[in-house]
Amino acid sequence: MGRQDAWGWSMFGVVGVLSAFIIVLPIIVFWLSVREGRPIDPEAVYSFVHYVEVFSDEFSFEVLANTLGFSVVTLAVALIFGIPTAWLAERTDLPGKPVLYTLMTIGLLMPGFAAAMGWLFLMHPRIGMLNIWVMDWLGLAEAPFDIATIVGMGWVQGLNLAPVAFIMTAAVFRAMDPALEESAEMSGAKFSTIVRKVTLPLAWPGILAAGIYIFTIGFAAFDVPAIIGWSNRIFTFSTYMVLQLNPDDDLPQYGVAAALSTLVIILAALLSWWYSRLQKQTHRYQVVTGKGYRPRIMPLRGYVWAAWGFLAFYFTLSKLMPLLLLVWGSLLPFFQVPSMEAIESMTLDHFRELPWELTLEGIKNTGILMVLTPTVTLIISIAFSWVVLRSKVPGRSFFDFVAFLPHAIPNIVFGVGILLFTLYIVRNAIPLYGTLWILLIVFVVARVSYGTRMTNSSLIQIHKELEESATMSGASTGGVVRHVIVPLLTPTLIYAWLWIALLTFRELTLAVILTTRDNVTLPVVVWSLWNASGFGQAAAITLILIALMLPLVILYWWVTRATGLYQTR
Amino acid sequence: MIEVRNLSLTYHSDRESHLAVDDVSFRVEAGEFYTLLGPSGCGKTTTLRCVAGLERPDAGTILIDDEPVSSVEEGIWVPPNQRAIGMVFQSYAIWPHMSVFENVAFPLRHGVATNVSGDIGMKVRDALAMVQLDGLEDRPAPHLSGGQQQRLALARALVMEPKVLLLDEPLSNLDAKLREEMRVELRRLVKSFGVTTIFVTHEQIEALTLSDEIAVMSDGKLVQEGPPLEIYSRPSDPFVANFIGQSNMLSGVVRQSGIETPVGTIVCEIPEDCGEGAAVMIAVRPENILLGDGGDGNLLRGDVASRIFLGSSVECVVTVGEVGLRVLVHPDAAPQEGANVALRLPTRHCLVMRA
Repeated sequence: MGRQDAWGWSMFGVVGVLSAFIIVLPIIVFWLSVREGRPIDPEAVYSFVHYVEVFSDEFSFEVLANTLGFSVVTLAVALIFGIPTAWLAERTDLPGKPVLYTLMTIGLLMPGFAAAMGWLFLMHPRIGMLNIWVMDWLGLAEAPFDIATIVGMGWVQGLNLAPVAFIMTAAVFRAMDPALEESAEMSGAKFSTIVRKVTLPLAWPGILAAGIYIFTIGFAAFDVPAIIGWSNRIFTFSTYMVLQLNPDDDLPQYGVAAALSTLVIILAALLSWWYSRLQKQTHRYQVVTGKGYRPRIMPLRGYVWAAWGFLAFYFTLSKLMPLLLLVWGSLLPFFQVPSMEAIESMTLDHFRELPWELTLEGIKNTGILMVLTPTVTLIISIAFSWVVLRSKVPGRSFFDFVAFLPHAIPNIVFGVGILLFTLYIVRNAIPLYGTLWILLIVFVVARVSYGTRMTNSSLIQIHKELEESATMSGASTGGVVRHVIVPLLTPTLIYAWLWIALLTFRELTLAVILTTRDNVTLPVVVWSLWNASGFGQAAAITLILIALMLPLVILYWWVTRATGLYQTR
Repeated sequence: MIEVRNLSLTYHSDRESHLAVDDVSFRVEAGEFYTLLGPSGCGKTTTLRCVAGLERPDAGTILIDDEPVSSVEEGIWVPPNQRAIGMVFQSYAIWPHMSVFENVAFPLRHGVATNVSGDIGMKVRDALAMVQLDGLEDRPAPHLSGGQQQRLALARALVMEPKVLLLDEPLSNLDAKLREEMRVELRRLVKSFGVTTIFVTHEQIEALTLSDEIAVMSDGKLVQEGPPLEIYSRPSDPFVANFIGQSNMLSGVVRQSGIETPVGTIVCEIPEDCGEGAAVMIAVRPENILLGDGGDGNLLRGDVASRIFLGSSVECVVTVGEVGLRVLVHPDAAPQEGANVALRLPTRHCLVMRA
């Protein structure tokens, strides 16, 4: 369409404004990282002092080593549980597959910080239930397990990310041409050879994509290292960044945080570049053709029990056990191993003594954000998709690249960016700091990559002639959007809305950076109670949070079944 | 009335530019059924989309009822939603989230330029009755069969009583039997409405049976324009001769006695612009070549190299010298393979065109 009317222009406007934000925030971060003194001060000069500070501190290198170790363990654990589960779900005659999918969905109930609390109750060197049992039983003087280590934290994070590995590799197993494996079988290869020589190599691009994605999430993860590592002085990148912004005994180190963020942007850029190169190389085996294959189904026969045993093991470790320990911890005046004595001392005091005023404020704010974030994100995503896929503006694919940036760069960088933006650039002109709006903006930025991926892929499936025929019927651009595009996108929009709402509900990282007393969210209340060593209260409020999420998760589960969509992130 | 003058449009992709429509001009009289015919990629759909306003031409003028709707030279551009053109798309573009009624009512309810007077419901029902979909108003649109969807698309295009109707290969998604029925039906409907129609197709049979006037396009250019019979029987271009029906093509040079070709000298009507020594092509349709040596025409002899049974006829390839000529004969009269036969090329069926 050559000429745009008001609707067309306003969609360009929306896309332009958000794109500017996405681009400007990292630039601000970089700019402030090379300013010495108060950045806005005319006397401030350009220098690399913050980088010198980062690199001259041995602790920085310890954090880097921690982060890498943590990410590697996370990746390994996630793949070890995720890939076999995907294979079982897609390529075997495992009975009860709907149950498997339901459990995977309900697993979303468990935010990272909740699982981390559960594991701490189990394997803390001093109070950990398992440690106390094993020490009693074997008469050990020292605790055999310690979850507050890099490996321990990676284990918890990996269990939490296994569903991501599951989803991403399941798609690959589903779309694989069965003839490729059948011809290996006809060539006389045995099962294990086929898996090693054909199935896994063909699935490799998908596994690689999942691996890099999980590694990136692990690198920027906050929940688990914060709950388990912080009090034990084991920091990874995200927690270290938050420490710089809220040091225990000093002024906020914004310059250092900016320098750290810049380094992470560079790292993320290198990783993305490496990934896109790898992808080009692995493109030569196009396994996913989009054709509807009926994949080869392996009969499990006697191994059904082993398969479900494996799955039950995973669900117990990652969901059930942490949840039970949270319930247990929330009902006891102080944490102890189960005994008659403990059961007799059970009380609802932790729930009663919660700072209810703060909690209700958190619930209110989280509720508002939960409604606004997905709504705004999806409106903007539709505008992005329309500009990229339907308008004929030159350079429109650039906007697609911009919308993808928040996926490639850890979200915490955008959090730091908007913090510095509100503190130094707009300051009092637009009083954003300490409001819900600042959280809304950064949440939208963080989710717009996902939103546009969803709207892009379903807009592509809408035949262009459906819109052109509306235009020929005399409809304006706005009419086409309102009466044709949006109604046809509705199933995708409902699904994506619920998923973004769920992520918003449990978002801790960005909220921790930007929260003040006035815009506190529910996860931040959890975090501050935990930090104040109110373990029982933190467990209690986490359970409330999970209970509040429950209807949303059930709705999400119902929608995924109704629409046949299933996907994480 | 639609007039297209010197229309050109170039597509730019990453690496190359492609001249999709190359200086095309034509005129469609009021109420006429006009067909753009050509193979895929010839520019016929692009031309249609320029008339619709879905593509912006690089050069040229398009007038509807003597009013310019698009003129690059004069800087005139009427957006597609204000041109009041009815259009039926190849995929029908029936909105799956609406009922049959809502689909047809859409142009009346949401068109920016349509001034609807009177009862929308009545107009929709009239339009549906016209295409024999009355009674299906409340059915969800995806629950219609292919033929019903096609008629629904037609009702939707005609409900706002447009001056112009554009049909983009509307029959190509139907199965063979239904396509035959709809061919007849489509022309009847369009004619009863009296709307000026441009029809785009790559099927010669559709073009020949439906149209008042056919324009054959190739490589972005309009190569021949005329009524169906003329296009078929008097192709003026080797491309047209081969695209519409089949033709045996003989290259030759004009001489005093006739046209000198590899199969001998052919006597036929030579156009005035082909002087002696001019290089020409002769097109002879397989069904116009006669077997046997009794009668008029250019007499040739050859051997039957192959025969293929086609049902109502047999196609024989007869080699005359180095050249294989395709001949259609009645199954009863078909010669055996290897037989030496006489062929006659009637003078009036040997069409001469410049090579």
